[in-house]
Amino acid sequence: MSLIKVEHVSKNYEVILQRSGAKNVWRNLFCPDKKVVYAVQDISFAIEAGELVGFIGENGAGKSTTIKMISGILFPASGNITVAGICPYLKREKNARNIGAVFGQRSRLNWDLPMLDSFELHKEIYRIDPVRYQKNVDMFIEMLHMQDFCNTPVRQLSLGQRMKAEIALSLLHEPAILYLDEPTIGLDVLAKQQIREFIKERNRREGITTILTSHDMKDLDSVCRRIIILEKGRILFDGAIERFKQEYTKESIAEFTYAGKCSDQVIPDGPVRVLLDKDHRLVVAYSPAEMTTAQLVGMVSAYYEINDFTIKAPDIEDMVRGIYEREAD
Amino acid sequence: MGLCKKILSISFKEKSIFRFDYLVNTLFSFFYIVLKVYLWKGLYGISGEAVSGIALNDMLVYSILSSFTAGITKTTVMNDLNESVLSGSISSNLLLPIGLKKYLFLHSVTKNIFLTLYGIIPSVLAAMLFFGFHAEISPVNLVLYVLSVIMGTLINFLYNFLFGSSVIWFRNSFFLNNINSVLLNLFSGALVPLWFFPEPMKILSVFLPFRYIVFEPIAVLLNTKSAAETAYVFAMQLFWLVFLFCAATAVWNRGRNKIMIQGG
Repeated sequence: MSLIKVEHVSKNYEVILQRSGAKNVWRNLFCPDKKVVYAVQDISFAIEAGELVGFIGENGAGKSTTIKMISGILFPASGNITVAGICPYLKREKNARNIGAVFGQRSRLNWDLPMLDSFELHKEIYRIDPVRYQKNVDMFIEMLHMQDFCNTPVRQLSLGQRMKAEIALSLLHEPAILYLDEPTIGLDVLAKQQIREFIKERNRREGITTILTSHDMKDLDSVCRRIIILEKGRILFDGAIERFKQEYTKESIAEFTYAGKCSDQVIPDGPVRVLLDKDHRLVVAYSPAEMTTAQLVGMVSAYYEINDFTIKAPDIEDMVRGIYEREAD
Repeated sequence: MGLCKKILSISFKEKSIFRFDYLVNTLFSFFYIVLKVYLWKGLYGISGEAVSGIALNDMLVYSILSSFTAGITKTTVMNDLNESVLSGSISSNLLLPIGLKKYLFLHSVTKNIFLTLYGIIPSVLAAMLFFGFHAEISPVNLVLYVLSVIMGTLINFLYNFLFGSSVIWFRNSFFLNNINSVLLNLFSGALVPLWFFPEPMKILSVFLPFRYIVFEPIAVLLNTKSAAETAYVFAMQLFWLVFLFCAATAVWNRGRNKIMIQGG
C-alpha cells in the first residue's frame, strides 16, 4: 500500500473582492462580492515509501495547498487523503509525529534566540530521547556546516543559514516523511548545493520519503527521481523525471561558429531549422531522434566552413516553459 | 512537565534580551497603581469616610490586589490567534504534535509568570511600601486564592480562545478585542469593584464569567465570604471552565476546516 495516497482531492477558497473607491465602502462592508477560487481541482496521486518526489508549478498552481493538505494543516473540500494509514487532517497530532516540514516562507525558529534553543524546545514537544537528540544535533551541525552559527540568534543569521537550521529542526524527531515547500528559495549556489546534497543523503541513508516543491528546476533535476507538474490546480504530468525528459525533449540546439560560407545556398528547412545566422554565428534546432550529431555536422559543413560547434540539450526549465506555453494557447 | 519547564526557560531567555522593555513596564505598572490609589483617595474625599460601607483602606487594598490579579490572569491569546490566522503563521503551530489550545495556553501562562515576577510583584511591593496599607490574610485564604486564580486564568484564556477563533469566519476580530477589554475591565472588577455597581449591572455580572476572573478570587483572599459562599464561587468557576472548554473546543473544531493559508 502506498505511504501517501491522494484521491480526487479538491480545495477551493472564497475570496472577498474589495471594490476600490470611496462610494463602495458601504457595499464592501455589507454586501461584498465573493469569488470562489479553485486552488486544487480533483487531483490524485500515490507516493511509495522512500520516494523523492518534486512538485513543479507556477505561482498559485496549487503546490503549497497540496503540501498543506497532506501535512494535515488544511482540510480538502472533497476527496480523501491517507498518510501512513491515517487521515492527516483529522488525526493531525498523530500525523505530526510522523512528518517533518519546512515551509520556506515561514520560520519555525525562535527569532530572538540561537537555533539550539529552538531545537531544545522541539525535543520536549516531540519527546525525543536525549541520546538520539544529541546524536542528531551533532550530525546535522556537521553535515550542514552549521558550527559557526549555532549560537547566534536566528535574527542575525543569513537566509541560507536559517534555512539549514529549519531543515535540521524538521528532521530532529526522525520523521518518516519530509515535506519541503520551497526550501531553496532565495539561496546562493553553495547553500542550495549543500541543502540538495543533505536531502539526497537523508533519503538514501534513512529512506525518508521526501516531497519537495521548488521553482528552481535544477533542484528537482538533481534531487528528485519523480516529478509532478501542477498547473492551475490540475496535474499535467506525473512520472519519472527521465520519462519527462524523453517525452518533452523534441529538439536540441546546436551553435556553430564559421569562417565563411561555401556557397550562397542556405540550409533548407527540414530536419534542421536555422534559428540565427549572423556575425559568423549559426544557431540551429534539430531533433536528436532523427539525426545524429555526426550527420548534423556533415550537413552543416556542406554549407559552411565550420570552426567550432557546441550542442546544448534543452534543460528541464525550457521544457517546463514549453508545457506552460502550450497550456496557455 | 518537561515541556512546561522548557517553554518557561526559553521564554525567560527571550524576555531577558529585552530587559529595558521590562524595566519600563515595571515602572509603568507602578505608576498605574499610584494613579488608581490617588483616584480612589480623591473619590473618597479628604474625610476618608466609608462609602457604601467600604473603608478607604479596604478600597486601596482591593485596588492593588485587582491590579495584581488582573495581571496574572491576563492573556493575549485573542490577539495572537487573530494575527496568526490572518498571517498564516498558524501553520507552524498546526505542524506540532500538540493541541493548539494547550500549546497557546502554555505560552500565555509562561508569559504571565515572567510578567508577574518582573513587573507586577515589584510594583505591588513598591506600592505597598509607599502607601503602607494593612490587610489581614490567613494562609488558608491564600491557598484558596491561588486555586481560584488558577481557575480564573483558565476561564479568561478559554473565553479569549473561544472568541478569538471567530477570526476564521469574520477575517478579523479587532472589534471583539475592543468589546472584550471593556467587558473584562468592567465586569471582572479589575477597574471598579462590583460593590459599587447598580443593581441591574450586579445581576448581569452574575450571569457573565468575568467576575470569576478577578473579583471573586480577591473576595476569597480577603475572607469576605462564608464557607458556603466560597464553595459556590469554586462551583461557578468550575461550571464556566467546563462550559467554555467545551464551547472553545467545539467552535475551534468547526472552524479548523475553514482555515485558509495563502501565499506560500
